[in-house]
Amino acid sequence: MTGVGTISVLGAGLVMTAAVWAAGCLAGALNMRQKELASWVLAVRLLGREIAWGAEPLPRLCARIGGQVGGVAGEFLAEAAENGQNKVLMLDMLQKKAEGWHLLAGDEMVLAELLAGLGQTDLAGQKKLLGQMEARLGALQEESVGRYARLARLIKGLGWCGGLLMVTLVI
Amino acid sequence: MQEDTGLWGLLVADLQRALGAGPDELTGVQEIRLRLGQKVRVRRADGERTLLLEWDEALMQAQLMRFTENSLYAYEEQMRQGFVTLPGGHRVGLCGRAWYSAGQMAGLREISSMNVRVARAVAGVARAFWPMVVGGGRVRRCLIAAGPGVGKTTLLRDLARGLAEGTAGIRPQNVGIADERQEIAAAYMGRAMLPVGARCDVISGCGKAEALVMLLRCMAPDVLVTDEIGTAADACALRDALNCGVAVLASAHAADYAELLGRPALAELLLAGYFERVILVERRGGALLPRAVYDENGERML
Repeated sequence: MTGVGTISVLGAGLVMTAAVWAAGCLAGALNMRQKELASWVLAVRLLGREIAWGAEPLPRLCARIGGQVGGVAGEFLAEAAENGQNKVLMLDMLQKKAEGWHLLAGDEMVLAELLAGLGQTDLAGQKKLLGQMEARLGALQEESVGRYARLARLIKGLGWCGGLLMVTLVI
Repeated sequence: MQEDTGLWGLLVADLQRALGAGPDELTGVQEIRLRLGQKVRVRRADGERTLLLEWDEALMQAQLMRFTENSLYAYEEQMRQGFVTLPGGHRVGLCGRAWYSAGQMAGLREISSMNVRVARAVAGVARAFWPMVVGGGRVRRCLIAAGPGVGKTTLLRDLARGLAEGTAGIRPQNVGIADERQEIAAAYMGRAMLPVGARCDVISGCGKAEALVMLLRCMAPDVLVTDEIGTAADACALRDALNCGVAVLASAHAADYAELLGRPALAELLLAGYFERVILVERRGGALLPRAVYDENGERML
């Protein structure tokens, strides 16, 4: 192989590696988003069920559910319970914590809406709010699963193409 | 007497600032009145003081959320009855616009006033009443009557404590308390916040009639204690209890015996001689004393 040929192979290889790496990063983020949304959906579902049973105040309820759920939602709820479930503090906390999460602006908006309404109404209002939020977060989670699956297919395709390209160039 | 800091911690910062430096400011406070558009008023035994702070909607909302642990739904049932019980047994009376659902009062919205009543157990207030309540080695069936704010609940609590602790001059009794409005024991998270004695079983937040039946069936009490009876259902449940050989200590709003007879459900019990003693209570110089005592035939004894 001539010097020019070697450089071409290396260049193509680098480009392909960079493309796969970027797609991998994106897939990682999407995977995390999917997990984070799943954790929130589970937390909201449990809140919805438990809130109807015994009407336990939020700080105690969230501390309990936070311990059961795990993930980002579990951590958030446990911490929010320590702050007494204050609405303003919770919204501040969401803003700070969301920087380290992989959620999109739309996901955060739904969570902000949820936190702003949590505990602010009677039992019927809370059940309605949590039901709506569960449905909306569930839809977002489904969408994230679909997006992740599409990206996974893309990466797989890129991998195949890259491999074929390398083989062709080497030959 | 130093107040616990629990109530202080539940007050919004503006109100804390208006009250003063710290939890000690609540010493001797009986009530804090918070009315929309009005200055905050604090009542102590020696009179009322008006603070500079004017109470507005934002403060009302913030205070309400503090009192309900940011969980309005959890206090829905209490709010429907017009109060919220706080840790420490303190009690917040509420006023506002009532709203109805399916023909029944579903709660209060647009809260316009709050009355924070500072709970304080006064041990020994029942001392003057033991000769009327206990006789022949047993507890008599007694109805305690007085106007609002005289201290019927405080008296009932101290009577229950005395009977349950065995300081009433007879063997300690198992006391069942039907505490519908959570005023006697002020239960919070299942634990009585005010001293009701070691042998007390408390059902709180439940209708008196249901609670009395449950206590009778499940807890085998020697004495049943309940507050503010007046409805036909209460009277019916009490009649069951009285027919089971259980002693009953109950209270009712009434300034005199004639007012008691003016209430049909109570009149029925009184005329049938269910209560061995009807004790009218008055407050004199800070102490609770019997003003008049009637026997089961309605004859005045004191």
